[in-house]
Amino acid sequence: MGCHKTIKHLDDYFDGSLGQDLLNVVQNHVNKCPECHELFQEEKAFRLALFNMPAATPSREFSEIAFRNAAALHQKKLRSRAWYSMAGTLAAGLMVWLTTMFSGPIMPGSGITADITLALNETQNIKVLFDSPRVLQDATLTLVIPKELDLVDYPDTRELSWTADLKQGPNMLTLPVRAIEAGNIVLVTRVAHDNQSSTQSFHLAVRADSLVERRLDLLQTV
Amino acid sequence: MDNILTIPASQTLPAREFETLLCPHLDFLYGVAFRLTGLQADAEDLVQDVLLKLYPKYSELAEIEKIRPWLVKVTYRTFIDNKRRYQRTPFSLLKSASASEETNHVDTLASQNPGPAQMVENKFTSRNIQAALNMLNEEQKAVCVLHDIEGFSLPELEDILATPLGTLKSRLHRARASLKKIIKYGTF
Repeated sequence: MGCHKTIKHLDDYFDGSLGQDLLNVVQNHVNKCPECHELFQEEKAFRLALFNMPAATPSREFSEIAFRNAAALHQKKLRSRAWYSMAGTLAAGLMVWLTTMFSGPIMPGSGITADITLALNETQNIKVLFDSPRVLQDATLTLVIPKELDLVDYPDTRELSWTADLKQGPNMLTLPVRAIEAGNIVLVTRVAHDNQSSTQSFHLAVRADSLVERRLDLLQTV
Repeated sequence: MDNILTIPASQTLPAREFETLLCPHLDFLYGVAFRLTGLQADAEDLVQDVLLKLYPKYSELAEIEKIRPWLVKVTYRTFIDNKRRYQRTPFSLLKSASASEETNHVDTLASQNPGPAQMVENKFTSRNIQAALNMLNEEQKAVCVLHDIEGFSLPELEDILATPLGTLKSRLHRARASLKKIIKYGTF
């Protein structure tokens, strides 16, 4: 093997990607040729210098601050998202309308087929509209989340309840969800107030392909 | 206007567990960030951006078997995203030319006259190498840092950098040649 070919193989030699036969040929040439030997030694020193570069380390303060900031900034982002979703209510997204009818009979599990298709592993905002006939203070909102969906920030949570004040008229709730399994699924929402409750279930579809044509479909029960 | 209801802030999001999971890798992550950015402040910003990006994905992180290549992948993508965002700002006009895959600052800056570094016996010092690294373009710098310094194999880098093996090899070859040229002619 000549000098030119030997030099050409040096990268593979040091990367350990030469076969044994070729490796022997390169070594033999380097041992015999003073010019290539010098180049080989320089290349070796260069690789060693790179490999032995001391690692830069962060200060202890930085580590503490970085983790704390990650949590704080995430919470801040969540709060901003809620406000932005308000502005974008009619602009985009998927929307479901729900009417709370406390004066009428309770409708447990009444099914509403919402024409919503989610792509697998994609985070989407589903907007649920609670149209309340009157002001409801300290109403309990409950979500029953199917195993095929994850509520962002609440992984593996299948039921989530909290209290909120509902004003008379439309009340918008944005649910950031991620579809984790394909299939036809049911999302249940429940509003409870003064020993009365209203439950609605929404049928959604999760498709396995990532390219889902999104449509804005409104569904309202009166 | 609609009344806006919000889901309460998650009380179950395991901030402490997130820290426990990533703390053992933070020095490594910072080391990579420092090699890529070349500045302490930029490295800290990059690591902070990465942590912020990863925080909501805690449950996914906990299930990843080999977390370091995955962390490097996120770090590299964030680094490139930040660079592109910076290049779209008016400040980027201060830079004369953008570094592309095929070109870097070496060819325009390297003097053909021997510099002081050529005269000293040990030219491959950490300081010289880091200064030279800072003059490579982002793609060359990344492959050199991750392969030659951090020890990731080229097949691993195929996935981390989302680049074919052949391209990685030629990029690495050019990166090393550029580094040696910068160090030899002492352009920093």
